[in-house]
Amino acid sequence: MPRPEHSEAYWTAIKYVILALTGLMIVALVLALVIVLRLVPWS
Amino acid sequence: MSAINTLLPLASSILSFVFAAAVFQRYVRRPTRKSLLVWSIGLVFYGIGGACEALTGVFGFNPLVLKIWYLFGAILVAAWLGQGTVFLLAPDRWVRFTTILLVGASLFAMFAVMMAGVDPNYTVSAELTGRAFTTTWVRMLTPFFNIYGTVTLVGGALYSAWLFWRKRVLPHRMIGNILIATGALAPAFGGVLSRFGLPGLYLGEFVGVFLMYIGFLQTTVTVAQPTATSVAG
Repeated sequence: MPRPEHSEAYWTAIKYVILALTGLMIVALVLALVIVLRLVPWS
Repeated sequence: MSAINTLLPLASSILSFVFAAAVFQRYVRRPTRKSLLVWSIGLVFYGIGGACEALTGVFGFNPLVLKIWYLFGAILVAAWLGQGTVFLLAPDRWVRFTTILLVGASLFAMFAVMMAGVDPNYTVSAELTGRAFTTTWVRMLTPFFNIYGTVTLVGGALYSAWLFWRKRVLPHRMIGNILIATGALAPAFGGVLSRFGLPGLYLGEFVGVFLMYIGFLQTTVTVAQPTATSVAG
């Protein structure tokens, strides 16, 4: 299959976008855990 | 409540139902792809959630509408959308196990929400919130469903995007998955803001369904591959 015509800079930028979104997902999960801990009666 | 708190969820709801119809239509054409069916169920839940928010904006607070909103819009939607991704990416054994678990947990959540007490005199400030429940433990269910939904939906979309990135193929599908992941994160953060008493849930929901729909269209677009002749020529 032929490679799509995108520059190396494009693929590098996409890599950082994927990494940034992964970071945001982790932040969202940590915040969700904080919510759980705030709700449990023994915290 | 301001008009924006009615119009924004109304727009989210309409878009969700249109999106659900598009995904379901695709499932009808390819009935072996169960992921499409599960995604369309999740999108119907998204639409129900938005419709309840819009109804509250127009007619004011109603305990039954709150319960329907909380069940579909706050508890079930992310997990069921994520389950669609599980159907797409996970081995059959995991699909069976997680589906049984999710169906059981969803039925329990339905029972818990319907049995929960609601303060009938609760005044909604701007956006619907679970604070109106007098049975407070029911609110503990939401983060577990949403953590599962975020991991599977956002994680699954990012994993797919990464696979396309690594192979440097199908860039439209890669971008589509990035948009789906971004869209799925928007209501997740909106929900977190809501839990901390801050506005942003309705906007997050609208941005979320809009980006996921654009992402879905990107992933399903047919791109003509150059023929051997045109590549050689």
